[in-house]
Amino acid sequence: VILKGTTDIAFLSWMVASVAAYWATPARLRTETVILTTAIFLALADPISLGVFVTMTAVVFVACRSGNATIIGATVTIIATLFAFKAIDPNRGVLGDGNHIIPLGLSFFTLRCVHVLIERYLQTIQPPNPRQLVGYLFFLPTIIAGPVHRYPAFISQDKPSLDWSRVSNGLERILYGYVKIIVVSNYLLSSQLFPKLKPNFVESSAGFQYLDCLDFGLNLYFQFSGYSDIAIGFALLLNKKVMENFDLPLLRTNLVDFWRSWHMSSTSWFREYVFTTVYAFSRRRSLSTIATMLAIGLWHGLTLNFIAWGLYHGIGIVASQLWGAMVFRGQRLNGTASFLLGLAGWFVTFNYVIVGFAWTKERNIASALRVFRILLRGVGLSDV
Amino acid sequence: MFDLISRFAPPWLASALTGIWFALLIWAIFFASMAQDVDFRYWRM
Repeated sequence: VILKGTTDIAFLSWMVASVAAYWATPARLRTETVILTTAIFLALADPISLGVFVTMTAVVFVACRSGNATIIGATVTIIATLFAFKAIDPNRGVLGDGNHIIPLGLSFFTLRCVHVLIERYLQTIQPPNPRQLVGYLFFLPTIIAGPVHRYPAFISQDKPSLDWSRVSNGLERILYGYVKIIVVSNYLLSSQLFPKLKPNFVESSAGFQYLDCLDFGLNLYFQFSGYSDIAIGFALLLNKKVMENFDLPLLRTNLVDFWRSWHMSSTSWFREYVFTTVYAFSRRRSLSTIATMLAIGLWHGLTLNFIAWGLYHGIGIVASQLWGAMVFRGQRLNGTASFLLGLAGWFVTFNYVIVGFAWTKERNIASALRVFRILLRGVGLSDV
Repeated sequence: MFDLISRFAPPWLASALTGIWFALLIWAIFFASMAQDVDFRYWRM
C-alpha cells in the first residue's frame, strides 16, 4: 500500500514532486504536467480508480458533444457506477463482502463529472476541449477527497506567472491542515483527551456514548477540514484557487447555517442540483430539503445508517426552519435576548449534529438505535 | 498570519512573530508525529 493517508510521507513526497514538476515545466505544458502526475499517482495508489476515472472522463467528453438524451444517459450511467461500487464496499454498501473497496476518490470524481454534464445540459458551458476537461477532472490536490470545485471557475484562472502571495498562503494552509490532523485530531483528541475521559464511564452509560459521539464528530471535523486545508493549499501551490470546504460549522447556531458551513463544496453541489430540481417540480420546500439530505446520505453510503442520517438531518433542518419562522416572525431581537437565543441555538445544533453521528459511526441500525436509547435514558427519557 | 499581526505591529515584529508561530506549529507536528501513529481515517469514500 503506497498511500496510508494524506499525512503520510508518500503523499507529502507526491505533493513536493508535483509542485516542483509543475513549475519546472514551460507554462504551456503545465496542465499536462498536473494531469500526468495525477495519473501516475492514481496508477500507483489505486489502478482501478485510474481505469474508472479514465472511462468516466471519456463518457463525459463524448456526452458533452452530443444531444441532451446522451447527457442524461451519461449522468445516469455515472451515478449508477458510483452506487454499484458503493454497494459492494464493506463500509459503504449493503452488499459489502470485505473484498471490494470503493476506488480512491470516486464519490468526489462523480460529483465533478455530473456537475459538468448538468452545466452542459443547461448550456451554461461550452463543450469542453479535452485539455480543459481532463485538466479539471485530473487535478491531484482535490482528487482524493475534494473540495468539489467547479469547472467554470477552475478553467478561467489560467495564470502562467508565479504568484508569491498564493505560494505563501498555500504553504500556510498546508501547515494548518497538518496541525489539525496530526496535532489536534490524532494527538490531542485521539491519544490524549478521549482515552483519558472514556474509561471513567461504563460502555452502556449515556456519558460514554456521548463521549464516543463527540470523539467521532470532533475527529471527523478536524481530520476532514485539515485535509481540505492541505488540498486547498496544495492547489494554491499549483496556481489554482479552489472552493473552501469548512467555515467553523461547529459554532453555528442553527442547522441550516451548519449545513451552509460544513463540507460546503459538496453541500452547495447538492443544493444547486438536487434541491433546485426537486423544488422546481414539487414547489415544496420541506420535501426538497428532505430529498436533498437523503441524497447526501446516499452519496456517503448505500446503507440504512446513511439513509437514516440523511433523514435525521433533513427533518432537523425543516424543524429548525419552522422554529425560526415561529419564534422570530421576521422580528429583530435586542442584544441580550439575541445572545441567549444564539447560545441556546448553538447548544442544540452542536449536540444534534454530534449525537447524529451515531447513525454513521455504528455498524448497523440496531446498534445506532441502542446508542440513541442510552442517550435518551441519560437525559431522563427512560421509557423511550 | 503575517497580515493579521502587521495590523498591530511594525513589519519587522510581524515577521519575527510569524516566524516564531510557524516554528511552534512545525515543532508541534513533529512532536505529535513522534508520539503516535499518523493516520487520516476518513478519506476513502
